Amino acid sequence: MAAEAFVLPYLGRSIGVVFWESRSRPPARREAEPPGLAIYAPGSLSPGELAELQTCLCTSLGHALAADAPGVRRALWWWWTGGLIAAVLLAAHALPPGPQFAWLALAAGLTALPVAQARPVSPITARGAAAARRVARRATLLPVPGPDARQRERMEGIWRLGRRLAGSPREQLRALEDYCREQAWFPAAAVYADLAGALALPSEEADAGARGPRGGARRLPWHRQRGRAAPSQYGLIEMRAW
Amino acid sequence: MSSVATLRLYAAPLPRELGSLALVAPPPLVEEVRHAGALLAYHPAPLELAVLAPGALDPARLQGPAGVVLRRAAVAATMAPPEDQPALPGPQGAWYAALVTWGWLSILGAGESARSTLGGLWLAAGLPLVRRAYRRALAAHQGRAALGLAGAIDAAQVRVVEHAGLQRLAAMLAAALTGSGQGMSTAEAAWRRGETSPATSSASTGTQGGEHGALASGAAEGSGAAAAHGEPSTFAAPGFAAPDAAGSTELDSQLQRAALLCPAAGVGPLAAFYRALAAHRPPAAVWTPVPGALTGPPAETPAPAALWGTARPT
Repeated sequence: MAAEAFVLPYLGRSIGVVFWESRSRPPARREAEPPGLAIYAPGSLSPGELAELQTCLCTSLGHALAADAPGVRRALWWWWTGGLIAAVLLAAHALPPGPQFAWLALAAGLTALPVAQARPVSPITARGAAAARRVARRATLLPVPGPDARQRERMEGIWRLGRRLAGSPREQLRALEDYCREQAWFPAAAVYADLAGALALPSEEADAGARGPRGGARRLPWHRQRGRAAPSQYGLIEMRAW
Repeated sequence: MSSVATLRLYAAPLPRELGSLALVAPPPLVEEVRHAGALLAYHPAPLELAVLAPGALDPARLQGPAGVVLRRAAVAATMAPPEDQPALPGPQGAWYAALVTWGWLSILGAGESARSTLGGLWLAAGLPLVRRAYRRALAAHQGRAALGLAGAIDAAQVRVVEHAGLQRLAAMLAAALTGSGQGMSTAEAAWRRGETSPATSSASTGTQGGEHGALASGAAEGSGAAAAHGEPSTFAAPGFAAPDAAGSTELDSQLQRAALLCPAAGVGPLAAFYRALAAHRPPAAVWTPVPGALTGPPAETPAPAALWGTARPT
């Protein structure tokens, strides 16, 4: 299927995850797959929940497309190229009076660069948007029961585990992630890893704040980019308890 | 999407005093509208609006209010720039002015130095040009979702689908009313028997209503009429300001219970909506009450097999 939706256990409830790009399959096989949304759930879903999964696929593709801005990326490319060349030229012009002047000119010239904007030039967003375009061209929203026996087996296993899990949320998510890794189900493992990463306890947040960049380091662009996750190639919605 | 693009909207069950049903687009759903707009900009397709409902509703009755809520959500989603994109990178303000001035001075004092001329040209002319180009590209990018939605929103098809979590929520609210049914008015009891219309009974119910009763009657008269004309109302209604009545405590506790149940029912974004109603605050959502849309009392608590399905992995 071009896209697959799973209802997975999550801390006593469930989440709907729609994977629309699987890198484990070769492109030729992906092209040959029938369009449609394969649904894997622990029980029967109501029409509203099916509609939610369809919406999740649409918005996830839209999120990946919205994160990519070719026009912005092109403008930034010219900005970086022109700015770097100009900084080098100005530094070279200031070199004869003394290297200290050259360093000064170079530093001043570099401040004209668009250092605060890193995402639109990231190749990850462009690759995700290209994949989203490919899926959007082929996929349909028609929900069909998941045909893959291996995936159904994984679903049964993870729900068996999810129903008897106890402990802290982080431990539960770690156990689910470990199960997915044991089953070589890496996309689902990545989802649980992302969810565990989003579960920051207040004490851990305070620790992270204490250990985080201090003073002027906070102004550096790569620190400012922290917390802005690039759109993943899956969609996520919360669903009811089973 | 080659066939159709889908968006969702909650038809949230409410206690009778508040009109029994509201179409709600909480902030996460508004964000979904923006993403769907980006998808539609790349791949124009028919737009379908799935109204997630606690039971069977008349789509014709919901078509108008749902379309208005969708339009308002689209406006809210596309007018504000996304939070994850800074307005403008690079130097700004006095430092930017100083760099441009330095560029002009470099050109003026370049003599025969090509390096100084080119570097100065970049700072004096190239930098403002590329900055402007970046701004235009960013504005075009941010407006793309609006363009995508503009082409599809008028022809959006409304489809009412039953949602198991909302069914559970409606059953809880109905059970709460039944549990506190001793204080039920004659009009509401008559409505429960199907003898009068819900709008009439909610407007005339006074024993449980208190502040909410006044609000509900306001909604039935003012907002209800506005909804009938396709205008969603908010809770900035005249009768809403001061929560003081002891009679509204029961209603507030029902709404609080509904908010607590939302995550387990899979409608987590609605929790803030119910909490705001219980706290007598305007909800941070695009929404409108649809009085009388529920053609009968919500179903009694369904059997687990009927609600959750029977197939469970062993």
